[in-house]
Amino acid sequence: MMTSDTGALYRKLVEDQDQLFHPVAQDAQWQKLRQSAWGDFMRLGFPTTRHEEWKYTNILPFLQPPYQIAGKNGVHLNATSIEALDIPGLDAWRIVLVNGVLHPELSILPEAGSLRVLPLEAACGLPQFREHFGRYIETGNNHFAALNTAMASSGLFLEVARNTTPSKPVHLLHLTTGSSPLLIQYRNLLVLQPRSSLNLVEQFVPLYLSGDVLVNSATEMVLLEGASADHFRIQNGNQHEATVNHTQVFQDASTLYNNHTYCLNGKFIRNNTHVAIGAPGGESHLYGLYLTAGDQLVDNHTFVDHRKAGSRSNEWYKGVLKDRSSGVFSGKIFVRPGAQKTNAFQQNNNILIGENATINSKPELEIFADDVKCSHGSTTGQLDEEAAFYLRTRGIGEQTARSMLVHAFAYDLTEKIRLEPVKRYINKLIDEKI
Amino acid sequence: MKTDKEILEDLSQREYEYGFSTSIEMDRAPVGLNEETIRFISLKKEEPDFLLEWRLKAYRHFLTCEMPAWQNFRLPRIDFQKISYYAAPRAKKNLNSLNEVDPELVATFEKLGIPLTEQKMLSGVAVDAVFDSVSVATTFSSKLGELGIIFCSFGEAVRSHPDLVRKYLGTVVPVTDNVFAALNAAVFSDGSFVYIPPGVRCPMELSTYFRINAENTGQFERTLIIADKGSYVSYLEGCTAPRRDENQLHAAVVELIALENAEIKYSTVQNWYPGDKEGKGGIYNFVTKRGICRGDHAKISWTQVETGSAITWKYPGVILKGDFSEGEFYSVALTKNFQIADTGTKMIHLGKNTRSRIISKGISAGRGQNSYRGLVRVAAHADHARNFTQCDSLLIGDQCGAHTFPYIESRNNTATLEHEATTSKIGEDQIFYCNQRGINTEKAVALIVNGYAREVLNQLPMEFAVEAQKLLAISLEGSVG
Repeated sequence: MMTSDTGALYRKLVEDQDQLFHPVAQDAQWQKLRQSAWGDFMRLGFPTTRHEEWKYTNILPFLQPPYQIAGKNGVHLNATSIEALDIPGLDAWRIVLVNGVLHPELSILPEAGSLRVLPLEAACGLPQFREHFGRYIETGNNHFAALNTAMASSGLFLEVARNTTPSKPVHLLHLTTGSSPLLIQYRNLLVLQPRSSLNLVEQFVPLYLSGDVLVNSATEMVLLEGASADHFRIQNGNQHEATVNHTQVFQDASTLYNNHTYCLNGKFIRNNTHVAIGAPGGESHLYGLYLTAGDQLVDNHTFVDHRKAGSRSNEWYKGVLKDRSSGVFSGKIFVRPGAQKTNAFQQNNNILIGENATINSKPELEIFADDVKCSHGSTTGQLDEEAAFYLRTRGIGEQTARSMLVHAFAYDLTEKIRLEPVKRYINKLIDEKI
Repeated sequence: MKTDKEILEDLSQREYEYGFSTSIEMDRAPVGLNEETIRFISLKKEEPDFLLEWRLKAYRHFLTCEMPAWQNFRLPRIDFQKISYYAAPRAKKNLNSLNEVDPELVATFEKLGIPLTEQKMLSGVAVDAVFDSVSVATTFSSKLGELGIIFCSFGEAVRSHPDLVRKYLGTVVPVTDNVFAALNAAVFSDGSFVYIPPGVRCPMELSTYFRINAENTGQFERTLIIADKGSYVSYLEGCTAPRRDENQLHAAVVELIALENAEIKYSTVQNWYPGDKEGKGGIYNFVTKRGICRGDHAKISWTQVETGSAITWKYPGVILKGDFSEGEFYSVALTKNFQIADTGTKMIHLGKNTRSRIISKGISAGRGQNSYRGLVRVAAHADHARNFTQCDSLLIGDQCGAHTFPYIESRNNTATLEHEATTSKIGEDQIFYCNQRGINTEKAVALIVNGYAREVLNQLPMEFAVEAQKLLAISLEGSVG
């Protein structure tokens, strides 16, 4: 049933479906998954503001451009323009995806050993792929994830071997490029084998991007027993870029997952960050900062699913909103029946600077077990005028004083970053943004 | 001493104490809902044309409504055609004193402890008792009349003050607000009407007891309270209902209007029949309550203690339109067995320098599900709006649920909004501490729960605070998580 007037793109997708459904590497299991997800998408269509999950975010304007479906053909970029995107001082394996397609010639890939990196379609024969792919993202009630599952055939497969830690962090560069409207969809699967660990810095950057793009990406990340990950996401698009990102993390026993999300530029960013702690002893920390200006719309939805007893989560999202920009934060802590001894915390702080800025905050708790400690808090306010005044009495200019206050506000989150070069880099981006 | 398990079993098996039913002849409308039913009700109540038209407008809107699906529970299918929309005790004309009231009815009120009789008048409560659908006795009217206060049944207000009714009816909860508000507007049978003239401070707490009696009779009450400039009124609403195996729908509408410098305090103790321990039966309490602070410096305060009903679903809200106006919401909601509560508030800040405060305390036991759902919205021109929200949940037993769904929307960069929520169980250390001092576990739990809810109970007028504390104690003594 088509329930919305988001029709043009929907109709185009339906019309082109034969062409879009070239079997991927003749893999029957994957093909079956795609078909079932396609059925879900046909039923769901694109969301409207009548859907609870999209109540504050009207996707309609971002569906209007006459998108072409991005192909899998390579795009020629020269290596020097890529090097300019390296994070200063960060010695890392560089993996470059251009419009969702892995480009080994632009990447610095690790030797065989701890890390295995493959284009998604090349991995589909592997048992790890068969075991995990599509198992964690549910498409029955998730419009964009259904579309992604049905259509995305490029992306990245990354595996960290059992009991190992890669010698360097992984710098995952997602580049978007193009001069005409494009719909880009890709899908990543990251598997951390038992007791492995990973530092992953994901960066989303436009390069020679002058046409409107809609990126619909999905990532599944599996942390098997005892694994740990530090996952950074730096979203720094431009005014042409609309992004819908679904990240689904599954944590096995005694795992640690840290997510650091920084939403800086981009016309529209929607992040669904779902973490399922499926075994005792799992721990997750989600930190997010969104700095918006102009007409930006940044929407962060998080969902922490405590499935078994004895897990912990901690979530802290902060936002500074300027001009006419809008922010949405929706966080849910879900404690399933029997998930006793859960300890979950969630906080959302917002500062509205722009006179026409809007923030919609929806921190939620759904608790089905009694022996738990769960709490959340949300505040919306202004930069402290008295603090600004204090700084100015000390001879600090107004701009500098405000910038200092925003930095101080963000400090709670940036101080959690353990990779020094990444911390410096993010602070620099924050500076540029203010 | 009982073990925890026994105490819990006790709690979950405790049956409704006020379950009895009265046999009185009823004057019923034919079962079913159509325009004829509405005309029948309107005719019975000798209503002016504008009201009939308003009812029909609401009914036509009702026909276009779909049942909501966003709530945090499965909405049971309600067959609106199986409800009788009008039932009234056979009227004896113009009752002047209690002696003329059906003695059986008076006995029912006595059983419920409603202060209708002479000595109870001394307690200072004016009671507009609604038995099923029609007000049968109104006390203190003359005393209030001296001050110019109008406190009467809705039907009477329509007859004697049609201009006031016409001016304010449906201005806070329009017929198009939601499906149950539309239904209520179409078929409401009676309710209460209060008007406080400018500058008058109502000298007593006004109170109405509702009671569902007839089988298969939905209760559609409508309350309209208007506090004119600089006036003050405190209004109490409380209910108990006899036990019944069939589910009953209660879809009331309450509208509060506070003009400049006026203050309205509205308190509810709700104890409808919650269904038995298997979750069978019980009242569906789907109520639309909303107030508007129309003038500057107006104040509206909602206090509610919800312990009954199979499903409680309501969000008493305040529209803060006047500058410097103030809204408050204090709530204790208790669910046990298979009870469901999806309740909270809406604070809509429109005026400048408006303030709101929300304190919500949920208690879930057995298999009860308790949701707080609250909206705080600051419009673009509501400079310097201020909100503080605190919602706590207490879980007793491992099969219940406590949920929090706040919606915080700000379009103004001078607003300061705070929200915090916690979920926990009664600490073993707290119990242990009490035990240590010779307080047994049962009493300790009552003590802790009472302390937990104190912030809200303190807001209730004296008479109600006692009843509310008793209710909480009856429902929860000895429940150790």
